[in-house]
Amino acid sequence: MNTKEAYQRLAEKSGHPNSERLLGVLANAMSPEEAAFLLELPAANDHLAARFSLDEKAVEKKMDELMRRGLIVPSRKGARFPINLGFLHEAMLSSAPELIPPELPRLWKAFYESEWRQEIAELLGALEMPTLRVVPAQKAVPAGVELLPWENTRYIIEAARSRAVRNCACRVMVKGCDSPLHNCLQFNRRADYALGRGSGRPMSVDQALEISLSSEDAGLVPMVGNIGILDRMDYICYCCNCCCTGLDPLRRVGKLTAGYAKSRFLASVDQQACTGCEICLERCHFDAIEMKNGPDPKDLKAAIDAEKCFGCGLCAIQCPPEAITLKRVRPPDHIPSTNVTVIP
Amino acid sequence: MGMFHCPFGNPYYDCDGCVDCGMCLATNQEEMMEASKKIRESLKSHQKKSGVVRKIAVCGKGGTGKSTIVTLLAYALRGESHSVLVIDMDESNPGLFRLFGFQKEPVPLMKLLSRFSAGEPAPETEWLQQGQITTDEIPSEYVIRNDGFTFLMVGKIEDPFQGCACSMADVTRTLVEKLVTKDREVVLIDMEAGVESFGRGVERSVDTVLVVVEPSFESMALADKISYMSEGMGIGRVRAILNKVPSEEIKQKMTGQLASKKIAIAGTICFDAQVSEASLEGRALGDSRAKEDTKAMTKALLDEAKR
Repeated sequence: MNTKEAYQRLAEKSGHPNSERLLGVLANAMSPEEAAFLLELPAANDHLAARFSLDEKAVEKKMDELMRRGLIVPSRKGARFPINLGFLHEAMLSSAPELIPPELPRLWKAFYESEWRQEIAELLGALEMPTLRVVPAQKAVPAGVELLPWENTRYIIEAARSRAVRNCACRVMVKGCDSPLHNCLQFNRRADYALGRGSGRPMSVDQALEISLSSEDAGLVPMVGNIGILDRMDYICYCCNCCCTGLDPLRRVGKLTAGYAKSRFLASVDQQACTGCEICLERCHFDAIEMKNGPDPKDLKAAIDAEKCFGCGLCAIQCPPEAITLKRVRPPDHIPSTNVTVIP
Repeated sequence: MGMFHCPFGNPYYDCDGCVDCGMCLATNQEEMMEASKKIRESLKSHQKKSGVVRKIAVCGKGGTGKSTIVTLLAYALRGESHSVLVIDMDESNPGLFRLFGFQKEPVPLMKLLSRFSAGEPAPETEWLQQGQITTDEIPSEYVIRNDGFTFLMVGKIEDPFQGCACSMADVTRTLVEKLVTKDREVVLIDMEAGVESFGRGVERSVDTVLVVVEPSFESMALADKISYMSEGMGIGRVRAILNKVPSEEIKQKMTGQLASKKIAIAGTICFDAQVSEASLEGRALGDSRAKEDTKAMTKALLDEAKR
């Protein structure tokens, strides 16, 4: 196998045989020998030892290192190269920063912006299966409203059996804003994985809550898996529409709802109280707020487009006159779940 | 996380909990579509999880009478011709086996954990590694049996290095998850008091959660929290059991409070001096009014599940 061939075969496996830019990513992320090694996976350590003339200890060490660098991911049949690029991207770029080659984020970005972003938009647009759901910012939840467990970030954090925080792989790549990076919250099995490979650091409930609140303040949209099974609520994303590899592609083609479910809430503006400061305009990632003529035609007031609003409440938590509030507008079964009812 | 991640919380393909939807292996639109179909099917199948009563977790605040209720329930289930595997997870109350009339306790499952961590060879722990475990496959040293009852205890969590009960919770969770019940067999778990063990997933694979409440503010508040968490775990049947109820008036008050918290009630066990006496003396419970109450409640629970 010549030096390039192993990279080419990995690119083929991931469904992108002709992408020079992806080859650039792979060549920067690993040596040709490592690429050849990845092609053999999943395989037993003794097989790998024989195949590459290594002793088993060396194979074990190599596997551990590849896991730490996000080039392989665990599975019951043995760790393997993640052929789905989404998984590969996330594993690589959420690794401990010192293990990411300095050029790698830029190379990923080049591939993403010129080829992959469009592809993601088409794929998710066709899939019409929102796998992420916006949940309301903690401070935006109106008094007296009780959240369901699976829309309650505080609760998801408290109920998790283990917790970790790691870098947001999307922002590491795009660097489209100066929002905090270190706030991708991982729980349960995902936390075990992140801690095991050194990409995340362990967190107490309080630390996780603090990250959660400060991320909301920083104007990042809280998102969770769009599913109502608590021990599968394995992460909370804090997304921005400039870097998120789901939001940005879908926003460009106007198909956000194909990939993202709304929360059960909707923002609403008290026109009398609104001072027209436009802070909410900047904080909205969904282009759901416009300035329109209020009661007095000289004053511009914020107006919510209910079609576009995803109900995150980021606008509400930093509205100086407190003119914006969240209203609950969707029933519990808006959330795909086990649909359990406590009352028989 | 971008858009591509496992909807079921696995790091990647074929980890524990994988439903084989293939999303993480998909590299083109067709494969993604195929995966999304499987994801939807899997979510649907989750919806039908309740049904027959197979695994029951009994929980509640310490001192509400959990162990007594577990005992009464076990007898009532046996009365309905079920065999019962009782799992004692409540380490703070080491006397449960006595309430079943057993003279001595089995080797606690905790011992198994020390073998795990000592890296002892497979034969000792092999049974726990299989995909499914029937009651008969639990090694005899860890259980005691007598007519219709099988009794297993997790034991006191002694883990000086970790200072928490997590690893033991993992072993117990695995066991409860893998247990397959035969027809007319029920697993009955006496949970640790409080909500500590909830959310660690030990109760993930149960189909029924029974919360024991007594007439006290704390106990009712805890029931609320447990019910909320259970719903979050996707458990189809969550019911409160009113215990130590001294009067009809108090019963009405408790019923009203639970209704406002939207918690359904499985039944009421009246205050029974005979039960207190047996508990005090640490002996098996005889016939009593509480026993009759439990019988009716158990029958209703099983009948409802059949419908």
